Amino acid sequence: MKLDDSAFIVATEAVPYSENTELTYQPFSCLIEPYGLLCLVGPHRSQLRDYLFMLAGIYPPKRGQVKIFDRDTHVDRECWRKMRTRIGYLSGIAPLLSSQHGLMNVMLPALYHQNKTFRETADRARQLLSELECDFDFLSFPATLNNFQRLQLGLARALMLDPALLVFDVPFHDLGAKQREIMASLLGKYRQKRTVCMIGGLQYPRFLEQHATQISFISEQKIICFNSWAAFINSEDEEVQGLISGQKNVE
Amino acid sequence: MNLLGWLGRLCIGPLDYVIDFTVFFLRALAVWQPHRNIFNRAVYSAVLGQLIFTGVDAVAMISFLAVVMGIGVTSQLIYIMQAITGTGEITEILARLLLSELGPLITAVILIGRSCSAMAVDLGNTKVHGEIQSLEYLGIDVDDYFVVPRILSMAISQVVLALYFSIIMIICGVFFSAAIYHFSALKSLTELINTMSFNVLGVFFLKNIFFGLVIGAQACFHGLSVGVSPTQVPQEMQRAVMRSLLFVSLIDGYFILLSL
Repeated sequence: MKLDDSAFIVATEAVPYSENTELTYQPFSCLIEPYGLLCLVGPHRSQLRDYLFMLAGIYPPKRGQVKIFDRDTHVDRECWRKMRTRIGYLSGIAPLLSSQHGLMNVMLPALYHQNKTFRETADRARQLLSELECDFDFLSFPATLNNFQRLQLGLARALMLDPALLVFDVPFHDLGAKQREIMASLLGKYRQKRTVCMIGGLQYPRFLEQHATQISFISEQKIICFNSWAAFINSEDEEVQGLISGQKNVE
Repeated sequence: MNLLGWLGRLCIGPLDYVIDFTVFFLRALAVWQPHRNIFNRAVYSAVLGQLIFTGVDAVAMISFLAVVMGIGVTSQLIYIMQAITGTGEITEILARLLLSELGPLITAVILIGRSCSAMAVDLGNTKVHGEIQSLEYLGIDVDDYFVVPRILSMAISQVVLALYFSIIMIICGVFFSAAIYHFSALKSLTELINTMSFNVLGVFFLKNIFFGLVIGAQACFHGLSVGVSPTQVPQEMQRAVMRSLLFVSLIDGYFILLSL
């Protein structure tokens, strides 16, 4: 993987597309540098996801501009598909393809985008799964695995194309305390040489404490950007404090 | 006002459906577009998987039904035709009715009941659970990976299975009848082969290709029409089956008109 200077996400006064008509969306501006980790936090999960998908280039902004790898996200479908090969997506809630076994799920993006043989792709997938300390049968179907194992497969699938940018959509969702810790260490290991954009970081605050370079609080009324975990928790803003204390109560 | 609205919807609804389905079908098969990527190993493995499911796995049932239909229908037909006209007309009847009509139609009905319904349910469940969306975010095109392999494998399976079904049905029927009514089975089969012209075979293949394309496309169209609720899966499956039957009948009618 080569990460050049253009591996930024730059959002300028960008407002995401959303089917949710009940929420108000504020224009968002940010710049994520290479190897940076931006976590979006706020009271509305669906709103955060809309911003995440905009920053990940999945949907272009309704207003404003988002550039990924120095390219505008208003691109034709061919460029969009090529762009996706450089962006890994991991979701804690979106399941893997249930009709394929674990190994095939991991191999799928590489088989589709790269012209490598089955054997080469399978070897790479097995290597990745071993690195991720997967101790289950790789040929198991997702339905027979637990949440943590499915997330391991999902992470392997996201990493299969060696992306420069990783998008984590609630990666700690539905995990126990011990599993969150292991998942955080795996995510931490793979984010070292990549830029990361995520939501759901508050489900395991220690991960943000260790890795976040930017935290953006997004609500209907305001967007506040913090450049560290310390700045975030020491914020005097009422809504931010409300979110933090609410999260503590949940934990 | 309500009556007018109801009448309007009644007229526009089917037209809307045909337009939506046609657009879906043409868009899925427009594989030459620059954003499409079907020549890769993921699609290749999906095509193979679907061919096994739709074609190979159906061989046993198709064989059984072909033998039963051969003994039941073909032999009856031969008996009736012999009683009415004599042996000379049998071959043409066999060619026109069994090879051109009954074989393709029964195969299509089997594939609709067996594979079209399963495909619609499979795709519907995959969509409801959000499995497709996460693949799209990784740049995998739904049409490339889910739709094209299913349509393609359905078309190939329909052609091959219809041919296989027709051959088995005719051979079984002719030999069974020959054993009972004492006429030359080999002679009848030779005459049948001699009546096979390029046109007859061309129409046979063309008709089956259309059948397969429409059945596969119907399964995918309705499977992917499922929204967010699991209750829509059986509803869409039902629509896929019924509309496949309707479209197959319409295509068959069109080919009958052509051959008159």
